[in-house]
Amino acid sequence: MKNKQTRIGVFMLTTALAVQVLGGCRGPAADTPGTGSSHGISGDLGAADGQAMGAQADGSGKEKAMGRYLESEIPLPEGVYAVCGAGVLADGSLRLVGEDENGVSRSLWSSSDCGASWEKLELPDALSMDNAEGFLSVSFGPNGETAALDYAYRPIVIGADGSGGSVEFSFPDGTGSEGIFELRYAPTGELVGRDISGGLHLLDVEKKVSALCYNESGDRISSYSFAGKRLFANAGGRLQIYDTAAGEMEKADNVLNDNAMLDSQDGDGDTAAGGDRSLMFTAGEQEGDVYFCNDEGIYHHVLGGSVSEQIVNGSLNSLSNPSFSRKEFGVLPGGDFFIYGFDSAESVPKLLRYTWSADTPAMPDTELRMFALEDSAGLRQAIALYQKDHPDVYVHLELGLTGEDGKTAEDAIRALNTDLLAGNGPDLLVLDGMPVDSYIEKDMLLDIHDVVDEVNGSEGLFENVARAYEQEGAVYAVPTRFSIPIIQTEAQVLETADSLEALADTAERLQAERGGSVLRSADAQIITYLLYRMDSANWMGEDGRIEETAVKNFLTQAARLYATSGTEASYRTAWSNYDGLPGVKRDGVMSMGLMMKQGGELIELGNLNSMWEYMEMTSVNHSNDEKFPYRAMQTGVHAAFIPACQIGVSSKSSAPDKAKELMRELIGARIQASGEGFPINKAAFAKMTEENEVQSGLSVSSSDGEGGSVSLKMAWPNAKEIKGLSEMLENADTPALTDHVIEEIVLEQGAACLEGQLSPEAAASNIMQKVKLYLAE
Amino acid sequence: MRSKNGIRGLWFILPSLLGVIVFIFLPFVDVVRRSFFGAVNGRWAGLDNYRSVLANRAFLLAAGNTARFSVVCLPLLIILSLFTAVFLQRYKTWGGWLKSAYLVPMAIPVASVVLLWRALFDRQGMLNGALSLLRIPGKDWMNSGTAFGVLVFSYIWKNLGYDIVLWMAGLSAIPDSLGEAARVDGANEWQCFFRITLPNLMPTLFTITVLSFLNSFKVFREAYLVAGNYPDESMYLLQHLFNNWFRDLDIDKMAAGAVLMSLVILALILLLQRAWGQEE
Repeated sequence: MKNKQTRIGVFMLTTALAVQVLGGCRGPAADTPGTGSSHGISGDLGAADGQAMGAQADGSGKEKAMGRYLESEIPLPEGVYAVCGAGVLADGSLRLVGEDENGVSRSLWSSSDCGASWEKLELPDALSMDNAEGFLSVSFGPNGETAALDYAYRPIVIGADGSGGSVEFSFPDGTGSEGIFELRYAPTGELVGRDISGGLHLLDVEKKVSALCYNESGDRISSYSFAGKRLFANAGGRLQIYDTAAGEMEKADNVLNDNAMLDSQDGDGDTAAGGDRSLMFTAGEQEGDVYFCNDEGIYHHVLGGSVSEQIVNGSLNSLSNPSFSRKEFGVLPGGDFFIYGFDSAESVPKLLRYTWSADTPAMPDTELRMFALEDSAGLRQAIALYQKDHPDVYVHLELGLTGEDGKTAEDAIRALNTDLLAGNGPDLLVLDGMPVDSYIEKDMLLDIHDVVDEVNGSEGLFENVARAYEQEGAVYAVPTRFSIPIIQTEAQVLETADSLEALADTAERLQAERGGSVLRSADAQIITYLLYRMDSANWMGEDGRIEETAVKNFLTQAARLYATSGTEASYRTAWSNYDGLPGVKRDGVMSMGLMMKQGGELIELGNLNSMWEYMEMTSVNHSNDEKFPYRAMQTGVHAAFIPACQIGVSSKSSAPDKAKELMRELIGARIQASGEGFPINKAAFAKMTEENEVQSGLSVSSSDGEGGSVSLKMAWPNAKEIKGLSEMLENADTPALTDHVIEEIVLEQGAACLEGQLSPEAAASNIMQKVKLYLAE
Repeated sequence: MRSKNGIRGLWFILPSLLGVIVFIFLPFVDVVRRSFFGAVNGRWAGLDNYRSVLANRAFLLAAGNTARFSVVCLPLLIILSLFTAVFLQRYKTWGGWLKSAYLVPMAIPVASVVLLWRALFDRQGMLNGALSLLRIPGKDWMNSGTAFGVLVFSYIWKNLGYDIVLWMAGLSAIPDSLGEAARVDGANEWQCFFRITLPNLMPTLFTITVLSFLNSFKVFREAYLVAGNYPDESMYLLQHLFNNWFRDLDIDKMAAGAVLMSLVILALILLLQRAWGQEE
């Protein structure tokens, strides 16, 4: 009997252990939200005060939460092209100062119906074009007062009755004498300015004096914002709250600090006058209620409370768009939110309104998951643009490398592969740095030739680039942006530089004749990388294998060229990764113009990434009496291009049609018109080449290293030069080798060869051995 | 009565048996299944994956290197550790201290070992520096055939202490009286060693061989951390290949390769067990 009891006991214990063990294998809970909110922020899309979030049964009988704030654009007043400032007054009306398309006239507008119609008001004389060339910022007081800061940092203050003008404040405290850098009206009517040292000043317009205020901690303030009677100041990454009525600092709200301050706002970099105010506050209806807006959305917070409630999900609208900089934030009558900002990608100001829609699902019905190894402003911008036009789709960008852990690219790819095999993979893949060929071979990518054909038919594509991954009529991935290798130097040098060997001969001759460095100063890895991108398109033999002779020749010539570059260690720049699009590392021709103008390097090699860089090259040529021509650098029979932001649709996508639709948008003219690298869409390229008056009027300058400076007046490329660029892009016919494994092997061995640790023969042999092994796998 | 005890014993091993079934046996069954299907499309591939693996140059190279590594390292390690253990047992005064010294490499974290490797065997490392002082030209140790030697050295260095401890445990189980009786009958030290000590160590030999064989797979950590995914051909092991196949989503090949490798390991262990059984 006792034995039986013991057996039963053992059996139960074993069963319990097995259940516990197997329980750990269970998949994620069905109710896990797709996008987890972080740091103690409550539900993603909660309703705002007074807005009840409903529930509705969908086709499958499951209930889904309803109600979401939708973004819409408030049209600008007729004839207004640029906005100097916009805001919400105490009575809920909108006020705006704008300029016409040609920037010759300025006007003041008011709207009492949230922007449905605009009424033109009389513009105070002090704000007219005659008296102020332009404004760094314009802020409105509760009753229509206006405070502006012109280009000369001159404060102009206009009362509600339209009187007033330029005010010269005295600074009896002895601080702020360099002037006011930022100027804002509080909802209570106080005018507060920030000096260049980060001190806040209460400005008395009548007495024309300033007094230091809200500086209890003595910390430098990098930005500030008002919500009712409170001032919120970013002091070195910590949020300080001041009661403006009492003039005292309130107890710190750690929950608010943790939720409102994002990593990007933690630094103590100043908000430029009129620039992006990434974190802004406005008051709620109750005492202690505030709304704040950051890159992640709009939140409601009760001061002293334990959570911040996200009421507008930034990833579903323009708030997450990195090219959109916010300048003003307020609440409109009826509870809608108002944000004024500037979209640098489209070069247009935007007045945005967030309206509650009870009939819209809290989360879009369709979620598209996009995986990229690394974050990219260009990609986020593209997603934000798509998202705005498709409120029924939520595009979730998943990053393999967040920088928050010690994960390597390979770890991230392995984790992705696990997801793909488990059937939980993303719908779209940004393939930069990933084994594209292997994915194609394994049928991991969907054929998207129909999308490519459609866009090519309607808008035109640079087909050589768009069809880089075409196999037997099927297109599995599309590089959405690209760049080309380029060379700029004297005409007689340019004529001879038709191969790496010829270029190395010329470089050595020039160094012998003139001395100094011929190529730009850079470390061995950068030079290897730069030349690899130029030359690798020509490494493949007729049998499709990499030829050892081509690799050996590359290393030999690269070592010769490296010897002609600046050799002083202090001038060699550190190896750094890209700072823009995935796959585009910093090897651009940026600043090459200045270097040449200074009489520095004689030959500039680089990657042409943007119209700005092209303008820099053409401007250098013009300003030097056409002595520095340029052309695409072709080192062999193939004209190389460097593909970037290569995107494919997963064959395992749960929504392939939607994924293809997003793909269509990504290579469509609207999204392609902005971003780093050249677009593959010809219509977008044509738009990109339209003269940018802001850029073309600029002058750039640089120190010459001897205490002097040189400057270069930028001029937009003329029609012939634009045609030349178009031809260079059109002629690029072969992608540089972008396989990350081969690239890593070449960079490692190549750098050692350039530094003299290995002979070109030994390095080539090492490369071939490893590459053969890789290809044999 | 014996059968009753056997069933009772089964209850005790049941939890760990369940763990083995859930975490090892069932996943392995899935690996076997996958070896007959396409990686992503899930199409029936029959023996294609096996044919592809057996015709794969990288697989043949890695399998050859792995086998060569085992063939070179195992006897070397077993013989060296055995003689060291016998030596340490004889010289009891210093034996304790030396035994601890041999165990030190096991206590050194892999990351530190890797740093040591790099500092020693880099093109501009300490070894080449020392050689240049002697006017001997240096070598690119990690990118030439010497890489295999470095790998063997690392394995022996790291595992010698562990095997010594196992041998010493075996040695201490042999009664001293056997040796004393043989010596009285006129046997010399070598005769005592080969006729008494070695036969009594056979059960220990099986354990040590299996453990050393399994430990030999762990050398991949150091090799990978020092030389990455694509080291010199001479030290390219099966684990490198599997690691790279997983990155490239070659799950079908990986499954077929794993099944082949498991069969070889199983065959080897069974062979050893059989040999041991016969000795017993």
